[in-house]
Amino acid sequence: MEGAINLLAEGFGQLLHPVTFLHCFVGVSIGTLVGVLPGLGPVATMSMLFPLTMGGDALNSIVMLAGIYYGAMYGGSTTSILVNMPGEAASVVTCLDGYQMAKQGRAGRALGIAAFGSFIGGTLSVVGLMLLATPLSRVALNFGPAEYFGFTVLGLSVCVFVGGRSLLKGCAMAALGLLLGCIGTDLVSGEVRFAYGASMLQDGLDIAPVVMGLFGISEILVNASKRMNTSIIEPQVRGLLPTRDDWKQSLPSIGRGSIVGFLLGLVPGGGSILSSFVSYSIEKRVARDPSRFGKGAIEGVAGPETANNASVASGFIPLFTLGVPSNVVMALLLANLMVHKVAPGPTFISQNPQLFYAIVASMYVGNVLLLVLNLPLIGLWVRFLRIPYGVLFPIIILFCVVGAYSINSSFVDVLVMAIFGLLGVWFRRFDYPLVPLVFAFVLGPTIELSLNQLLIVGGEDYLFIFTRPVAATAFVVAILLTISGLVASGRRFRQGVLDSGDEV
Amino acid sequence: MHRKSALVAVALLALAAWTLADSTRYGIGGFTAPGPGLFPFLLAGILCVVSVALLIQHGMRAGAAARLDVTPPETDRHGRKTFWFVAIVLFGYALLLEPLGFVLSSFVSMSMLFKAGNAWRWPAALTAAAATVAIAYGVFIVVLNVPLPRGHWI
Repeated sequence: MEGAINLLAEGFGQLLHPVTFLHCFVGVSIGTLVGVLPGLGPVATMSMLFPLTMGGDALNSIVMLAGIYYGAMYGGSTTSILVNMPGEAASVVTCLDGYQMAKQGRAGRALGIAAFGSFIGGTLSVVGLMLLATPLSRVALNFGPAEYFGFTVLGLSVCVFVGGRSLLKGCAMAALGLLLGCIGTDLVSGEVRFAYGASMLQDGLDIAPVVMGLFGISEILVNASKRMNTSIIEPQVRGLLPTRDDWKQSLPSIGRGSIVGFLLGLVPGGGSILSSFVSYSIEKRVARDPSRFGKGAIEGVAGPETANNASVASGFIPLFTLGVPSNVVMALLLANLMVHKVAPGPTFISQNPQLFYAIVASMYVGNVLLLVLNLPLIGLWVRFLRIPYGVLFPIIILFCVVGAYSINSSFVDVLVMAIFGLLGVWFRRFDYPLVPLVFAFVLGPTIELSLNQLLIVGGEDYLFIFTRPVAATAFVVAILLTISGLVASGRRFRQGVLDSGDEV
Repeated sequence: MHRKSALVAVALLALAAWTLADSTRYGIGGFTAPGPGLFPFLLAGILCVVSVALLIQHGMRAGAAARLDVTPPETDRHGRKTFWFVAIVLFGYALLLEPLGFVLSSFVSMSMLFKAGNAWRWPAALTAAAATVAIAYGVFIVVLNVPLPRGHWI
C-alpha cells in the first residue's frame, strides 16, 4: 500500500511537468468542447487527434485522449440541459429531466448537480481503478488463450446485444469488423491476406481513418445536409450551486450512479451509454413518485451523469489488467498504447508502474480541472453552442484530413476515411450499428490469435475451452446472450413486428 | 426503402461469398492446425448466414409493407444535394492534397464547404477559408510540425 501511495505521489509529480499538465488540460478542454457541441462525439475526436499524439510519449498521448473521453462526459450534459439535444450519446437521458429543469428556470442547478455528480462519480471510480487494478492483474497472470478468447467473444456479444435495435444487423456488423481486421499480415503464419498487391494494406487498415470516417465524417455528412436549429436556454451563473434540498435528493442517486457506472464500466461491451440508461431506470424504479421523472426530477440528472463518468475510469480496468478493451474508446486507447510500444495486459502495471500511476493521477487532476471548466466557465461553452454548424463542419473536415494524412503521410488514408464516411452514412441510414463494427475490428486480431492458440493447445480436444472454468463461463454467457437475443427477436418478429416496423 | 435496405444485406452477402472463396487461397488447414485462411473462412460463413437471414427478413417485411400500403417518407432534395456536394468536395480534397499541397487544396475545399454550409456570398466564404487555412498552417505546420504536403506552388 505504501508503495502504491509513493508511486501515486510520483505520478502526480510527473503530471505536474508542464508538458504533461498541458496535455491533460488540452484533453479535458477539447473533451468538454466536443461534449458540448452536438454532432461530434469523443470517439471521432479521439481518432482525429490520434495521429497527432503518435509523435509524443505514451503518457502524454493517453493523458490527452483519456481527458477527451471524460471531458466529453462532462460537456455532454450542458447541451442536453440547455438545448434538449444530447452533446454525445451518454447524455441522451439527461435531456429528459435536465431540459425540463431548465424550462422551469432551474438550468443552473441542473448544470451544477451534473458537474458535481460527474466529479464525485469520476473520482470514486478512479479510486476503484487504483485499488482493484493491481490485484486483478495478478489474477490475470494465470489466464491463457482460452480465457482471452472467452473474454473477447463475451465483450463482442454484449456489444452486439446492446448496440442496436436489430441483433442480426449487429451480428453482420461484428462479422464485417472482424473480417476487416483480417486484412494484412497474419500474426501466426506471417502471410499477407486480402491485400491484393496494395502495399498500404500489408500492415492492415489503420484504426484512425476507419473510426474517423465511420463516426466523424458520416456524422458531418448527415448533419451538413440538415438545417440544425438550436434554441438555447441561458443559465444563471449565480444559480449553479445546488441547494441543500437538491443535495438531499441527489446524494443517494449520486451514490447509486457511482456504483452502477463503476460496475458497468467493467463489463465488456458496457460503458458510459449503457451506464447512464441503467442508472436512469434504477432512479425511476426506486423513486417514491416515479411520475416526477421526465418533468424535471433532479435525480434523473444526478444519477445518469454520475454513472457515465464513473464508467470511464473503471473501463480502464479490463484494458490495463487483461489488455482487453471494454468499449470502443478503450479500443482506441489500446491501439494508441500499442503504437507507443506499450502492451496493456497482466504485466502492464508491474512493468510500467510509473505510467499507470501517472495516468491515475491525471484522472484525479482532470476531474478537478473539469469541475472548474464546467461551473464558473459555463458561459464560455454556451457561446460555442451559438456557432452555426455551417461554420463548424468545414473546420472539422480540415482537422479530420490533417489527422488522417499525418498517420502515414499518404493521401490514401484520407481516401480510406472518406470511403468509410460514406459507408457509415449508408449503414446508419438502414440502422446497421457502427459500434460492433469498430469494436470487432479492433478485437479481431486478439480473437484470431487466441482462437488459433486455443486450437493448437487443445489439439484433438475440441471442448478444451470447457476445461478452463473462467473461459468456459465467459464463453457460455456469450453464447446464451446471443441465443436469448435471437429467440427474443424471433418472438417479437412473429408477434407482429411487421405492423410496427420494429427491427429484430 | 425496404429495397434499398436489402441492398446492404446483398452487398454483405457478396462480400462474404467473395471472402469465402478467397480465404481458401491462403490455406484453411484444420481445427488442430489452423491455416491463415481458417478464421476469415469461418467469419465469411457466419456473415453469409446472417446476410441471408437479413434478406429473408427484408422479404417478409416488404411483403407486409406492400399489404399495408406503406409509402416511404419524402426525402429532402436540398439536403441530398448538400450531402453529395460535401462528399464530392471531401473526395476531391483527398485526391488534390498531394498534387496541390496542403495550403491550396485546403483553401479551395474550405471555400466550397463554407459556401455550401452557409448562405454566404463568395467574398465571405473565401475570407473564412483563408483565415481557417492560415490558422491551420500556423498550428499544424509551424507549431506541431505535422508533415503535410507542400505542393508545387506553396
